[in-house]
Amino acid sequence: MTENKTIVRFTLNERIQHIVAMIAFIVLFLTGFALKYSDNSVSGWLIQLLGGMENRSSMHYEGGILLIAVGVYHILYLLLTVRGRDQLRRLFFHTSDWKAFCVSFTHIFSSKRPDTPHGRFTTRQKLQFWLVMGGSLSMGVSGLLIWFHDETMSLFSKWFWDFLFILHSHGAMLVFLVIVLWHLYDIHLREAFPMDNSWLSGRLSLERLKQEHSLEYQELMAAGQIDGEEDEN
Amino acid sequence: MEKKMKTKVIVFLLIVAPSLLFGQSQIRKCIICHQKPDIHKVMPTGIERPVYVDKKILKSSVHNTLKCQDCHVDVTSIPHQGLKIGRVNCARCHFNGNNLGAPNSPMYAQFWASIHGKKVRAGDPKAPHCQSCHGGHNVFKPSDPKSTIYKKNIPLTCGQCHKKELHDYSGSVHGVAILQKGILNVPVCTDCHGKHDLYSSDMSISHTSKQHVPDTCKSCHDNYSLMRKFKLTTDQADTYTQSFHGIALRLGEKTVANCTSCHGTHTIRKQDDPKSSVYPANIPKTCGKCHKGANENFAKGKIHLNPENRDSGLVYYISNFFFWLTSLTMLALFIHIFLDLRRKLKEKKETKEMDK
Repeated sequence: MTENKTIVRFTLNERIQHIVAMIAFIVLFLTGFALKYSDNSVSGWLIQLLGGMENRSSMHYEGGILLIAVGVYHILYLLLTVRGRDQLRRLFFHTSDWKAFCVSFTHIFSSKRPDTPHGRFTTRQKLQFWLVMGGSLSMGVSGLLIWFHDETMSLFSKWFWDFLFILHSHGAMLVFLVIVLWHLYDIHLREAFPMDNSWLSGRLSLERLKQEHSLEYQELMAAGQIDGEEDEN
Repeated sequence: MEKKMKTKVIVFLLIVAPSLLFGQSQIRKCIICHQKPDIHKVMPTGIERPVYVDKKILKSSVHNTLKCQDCHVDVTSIPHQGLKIGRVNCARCHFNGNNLGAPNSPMYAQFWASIHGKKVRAGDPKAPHCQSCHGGHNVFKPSDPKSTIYKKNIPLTCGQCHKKELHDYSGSVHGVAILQKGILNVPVCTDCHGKHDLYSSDMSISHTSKQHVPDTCKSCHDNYSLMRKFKLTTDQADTYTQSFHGIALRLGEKTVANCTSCHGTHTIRKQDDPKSSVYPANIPKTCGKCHKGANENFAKGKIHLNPENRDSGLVYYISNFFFWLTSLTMLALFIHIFLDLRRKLKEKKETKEMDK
């Protein structure tokens, strides 16, 4: 009777980190794209709603501080806590991920997703994690340098600042695509429409654990953690 | 035939000839005194003012069919010692909707709302009236090189009062072009400030207000064929509009730079002119007006940068790279999601069929 039973996939701390990052991303996307696509009437309306350009800028800075803060916290969490280090170890790519990646292409038109066995994180989840981390890092660094434009231009040059601006502006679109198009579809919507609520409850059913993360299921079974410690839903 | 001829002669003698003679005699009479070059009147303030009239100029002006008294209505007797003779009121004929032969235009009314009109109404003795710019007896069409408002003469006309502005303008790229080289395609005072719709730059409706400066400059600098004549591009206008300064200004920010913040107003010079505010060596000072700590590194790189232009070098290639990376990522993700959704729907169908 595994279908009624769930395990804790994300701790409360991890869920709060996710929610804070989400809020930061929403604020940054709204205030950022309002500037990038300022020709659009919706952008003009949004900026007026936020109280003008100056408020838009400060909100973007605040969103940036929030994202950098949660990013730094997350890096410390991954490096300094026992659970964090364990998660980080499981986030690295292995040769099996490369195989899974290749298999996904050979099965691209097949009617079933390939049954590649996955551990705690699937290849797609690992890829999304590293893309969002890398994207946030480059956006954070370029964002800070653009924020302190006078100092950046004095220290480096105008053309370096132009380069940063292009990086920040185009990079934002890439991060947006990865998060909104891919991550939101793949993680939050695909398995449970209208929304997979594990990001709020932190729980995953044993049935889905067995299906999607078969290696982790076996690992937990072998450790005796599933039959002993799982909670009733 | 003879009868007809007779009536014509009678009509001529009775109506046309007296009016012609009277008109002529009016000017003839006045001009007897007023053609003396040293003739002058003494104002109540004690100041002497010349009242000499150049008959030749008057006869070639647009008002050549008018009699002296048509304009100088308060001159009722000759000689006119003791008479209070005021300034000619052009609005007697020049109002919108007149049928007196004066052009019909809303600009007469515009004048009274302008900064000059307001000052006239407030009684400022230095404020200009119609004749201050258009001339008194020497009123010609704007297209006539003799006119005080002929394009090339406008800086000198405005410069009668605005001396510093004329001095600055004369050395500017626009001023040198028209005043020294005679190129008429460059802006003079009125092209930026307006003619009768001329307001203080502090007023939002002014052509030279903070918010309107880019549009005013763009009226020429956004014109591709005009700019090509001077081997210039319209990139400056486009890149400003797309820049942070341009966007912020358009969305109501008041502290950001517009064209004149960097290029100056009457002193606009070419970038390679050492006196120009945008000459590379002067960039730190110009940017430094707003950006504290601006140094020579601010001049390394292009200010009006168009990433879509090949001239932008590295930035052009990086921008292109990102364009393709983003497009291909978007395409790949759309295909991925489409195929995956199709697969999911198939799976659902199959499980439903199996349940049956």
